[in-house]
Amino acid sequence: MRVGIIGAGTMGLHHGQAWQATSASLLGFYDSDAERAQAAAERLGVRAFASQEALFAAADIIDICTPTFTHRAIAVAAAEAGKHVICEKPMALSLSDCADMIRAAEANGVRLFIAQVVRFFPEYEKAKELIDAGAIGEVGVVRLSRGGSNPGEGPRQWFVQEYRSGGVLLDLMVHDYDYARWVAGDVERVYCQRHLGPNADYALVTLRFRSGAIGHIEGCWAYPAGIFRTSFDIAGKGGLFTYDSEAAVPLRLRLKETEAAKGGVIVPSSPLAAEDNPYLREIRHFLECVERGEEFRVTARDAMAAVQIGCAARQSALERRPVKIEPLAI
Amino acid sequence: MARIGILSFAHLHAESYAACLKQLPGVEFIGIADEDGARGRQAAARFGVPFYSSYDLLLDRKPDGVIVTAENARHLPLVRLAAQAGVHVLCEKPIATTMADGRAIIEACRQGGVKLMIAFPCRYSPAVRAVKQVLDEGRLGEIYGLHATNRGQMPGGWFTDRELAGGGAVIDHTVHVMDLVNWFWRSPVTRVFAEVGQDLLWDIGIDDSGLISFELANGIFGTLDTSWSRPKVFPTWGDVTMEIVGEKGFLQLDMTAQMLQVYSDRQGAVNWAHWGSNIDLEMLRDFATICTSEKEPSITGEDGLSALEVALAAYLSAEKGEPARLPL
Repeated sequence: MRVGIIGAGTMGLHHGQAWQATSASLLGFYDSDAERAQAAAERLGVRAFASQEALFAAADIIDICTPTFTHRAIAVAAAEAGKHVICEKPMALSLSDCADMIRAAEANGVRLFIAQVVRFFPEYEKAKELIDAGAIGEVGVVRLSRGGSNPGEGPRQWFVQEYRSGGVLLDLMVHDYDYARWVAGDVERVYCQRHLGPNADYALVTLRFRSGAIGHIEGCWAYPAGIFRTSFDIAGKGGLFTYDSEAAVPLRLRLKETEAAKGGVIVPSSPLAAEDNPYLREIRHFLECVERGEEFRVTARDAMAAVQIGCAARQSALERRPVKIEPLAI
Repeated sequence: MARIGILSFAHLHAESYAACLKQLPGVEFIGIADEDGARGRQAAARFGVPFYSSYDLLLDRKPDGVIVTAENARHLPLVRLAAQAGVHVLCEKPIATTMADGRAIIEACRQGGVKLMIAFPCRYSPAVRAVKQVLDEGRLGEIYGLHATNRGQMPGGWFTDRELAGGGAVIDHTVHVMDLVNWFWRSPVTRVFAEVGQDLLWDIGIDDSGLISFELANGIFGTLDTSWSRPKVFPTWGDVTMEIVGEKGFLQLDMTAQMLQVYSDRQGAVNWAHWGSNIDLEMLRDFATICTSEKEPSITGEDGLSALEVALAAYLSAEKGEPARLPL
């Protein structure tokens, strides 16, 4: 399989490195910023493509690592060109965009995978595996938390522009909506309180699952620079998991002098064997499922359901009332 | 010398309060009265103090103050007796199970001319006091919100009896943190939305979990997890945590983090042994001073009522599936 990546930012490079560790062949990058495409291509020893069409013409798989507001158009175009699509999360900014992407993939007989990478993070995967094995009984209260500094400094301003990224409610918390659904099933009601200001986006969401279980999801883009942390606390009828990224740290390096912190997205990294890298495992999973015609661990409809929770949370915060989640009409 | 007695040993906190009374200098622990004779007699024997088979008998000894540690729904009659006898009262939290009872408790103490204090020991935690200072100094800048937990193991006994406790996990675990929120900002809660779970964690026929979302009049919002979500094997009783996020940074409070991790083959278990300051002791030291001086309680009946109101609003919201507006 020949792979082309659209979007040569932080995630494009992560995906690029992962692709190079698979049996697929990474052809190169296209980016609307030609210099950035060139820089990424040089870094990974691949080509920079001059246009999206040129990349489509050469590749079997299109990997979309662009800002969220562009996902729908690129994914639909790629599907119509007969390419399998892997697309960064969140899937899109609206349910109608998500539906367009699913329909385009189905109409053109190609696979569509949304990179909900948290399902491939070993700590989250371990908890899911233990839940399935009955370690804590039926899940009752799910708490998931994710926070960092404001990612909107410098060239990445689109991150904090609600209409382009969905803000903390979609861009960040979509990871946890998806994980919550993975461990506790469909959601029926969402309530959200949020502070959205020029330099901070902070939201507290509660969920009621169809099973009766309840959930709390916290998302924060208001921490001081250099912090990124995740945690979960999942209680069931016979046990509990607790996890805190700040506690599960096998190595702490503390130097007397440090380089000044640079703005941008901090990708969480706890030291793992190369083969256990979550982005690599996610991309391998995608590739294997495409090659074998198997169902993905996280379907496009799952990804759409996570977007739906984020949209409901935004509506809840604006209208200051709980919002009901209807079953997806696709 | 402050002469203090305990009315009812129903609440498990009575055990800690009794131990504190025994060790506080300047306090004479005059005894325990309990309508449950066996329970009261055993406790009195354990602490080496007299047992009184009726509350009036203890009050006849003219104590300076009493601690009311009856079941939540039974605070009012005992507070009334004490107030009528002219004895100052430290009332266990929550103040009552209904707003009407809570108001009657405040009124009885006003009429009796006695001081009423509500037992919110978290206010005496040195870590919590440090949080209060950070906030008062404005070091976090504008505050956006907070998420808090007061989770615990399932206490059993009358705590799961709706009549005596007034509810389950939500009424048990809402008031400590909401009192801190009240103390920190002195801004009333205006809106509450709650997801309350029953039989999600324990099959006990009463709410065992709750996620409360609240808004203050000053615009700060927050959530509080009141769930009995710590399993039996959890190495301590539970937690009181808070993360407050503001313009200039954030703070994380884990009030009981001063724990020794004990791995004991002899005890056949892992448990966490608390070595931080004893906040019950500090609270009772303050109560003893209040009983014997002009000092007024810093934690008032109205504070107790404000915290209770949030718990009741949470139940109301959960029942209706929509936010409840306060005052109720």
